[in-house]
Amino acid sequence: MRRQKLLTAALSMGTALACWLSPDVLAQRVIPGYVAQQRVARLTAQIQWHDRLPDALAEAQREGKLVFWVQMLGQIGGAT
Amino acid sequence: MRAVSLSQEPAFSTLQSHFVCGVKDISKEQYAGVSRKHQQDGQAIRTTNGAGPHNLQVFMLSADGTVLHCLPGYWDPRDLVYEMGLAWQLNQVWTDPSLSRSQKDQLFRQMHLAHERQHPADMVFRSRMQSFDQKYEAKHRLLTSDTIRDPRLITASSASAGMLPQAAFKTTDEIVHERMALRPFLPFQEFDVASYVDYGRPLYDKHEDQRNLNGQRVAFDREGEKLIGNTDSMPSKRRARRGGLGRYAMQRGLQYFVRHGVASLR
Repeated sequence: MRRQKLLTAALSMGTALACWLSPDVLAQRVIPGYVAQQRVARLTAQIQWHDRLPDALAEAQREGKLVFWVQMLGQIGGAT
Repeated sequence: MRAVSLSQEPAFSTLQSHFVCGVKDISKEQYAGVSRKHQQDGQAIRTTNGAGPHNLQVFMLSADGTVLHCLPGYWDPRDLVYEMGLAWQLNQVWTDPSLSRSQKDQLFRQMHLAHERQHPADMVFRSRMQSFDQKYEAKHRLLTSDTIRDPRLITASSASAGMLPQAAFKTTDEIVHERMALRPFLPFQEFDVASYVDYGRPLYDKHEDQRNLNGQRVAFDREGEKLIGNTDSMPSKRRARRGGLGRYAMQRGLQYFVRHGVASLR
């Protein structure tokens, strides 16, 4: 009986540990809304975001840079 | 991604110094997925590399519009910069006048595959596919998906009603480089976004605004909450509700199991 209890406990701890170590769980660190808002403000204030690819390419050619083109649901500085 | 990844170092400084940035809303594109609508001051959540591939794509382009790299979904800022480095190397190849077109394309494939093999272990760990995407691939494309490394492991775990084994799936960093390596250098307009980003389910929702700061979910969906994206790609409500109940029952079963296991220690 005691052996069965120990086995159940070990299995349970293993399951709990597996859940805790899962990347989904590990990665779930919440960033409060006001911090997210500050970060978005920094991103949109300190980097110019083109909304037309030809404009971004023309600037990249002038400045010898690459283009970082983001496609997303919603707006970079607004609701997503 | 904008709050969690792009605004954070080392990605932010690299973007400022080496890239011209642009953005497009893909809500009305056929290949777009679906997400709950998040306000600007809504909570954000860190997730795994490649999560939400239908809803977000990052392209790194040469100044003439040639695709050097494409990352679907969220990417950790450290891993994003690591991939930016590859884009710079590929741009050197693309703009090298001493190389023929076929040599460039061959190098493009080789460099993508070689880069994947050199990924650090922590990046690989951050690149595990989301469990709901793994389930989707196992259910809908068990024998045809390039995201599945070994379908037999999935079949075996299904037979024993066990969890899907990580070893059965490729990691997202592996998937993206393998998919890029299937393509030559392509102009952006010719890049087949729909097939490139096609893995996992169309809906990406981590319930960011329904969690407390410890990540525990403290609120639940309400009828009529606004979704954005290509909602036509969603399964019917009835099927979604059935899946939701199944998931709920599994979670409660696990909680019960853990609770009773701990109690048996006493």
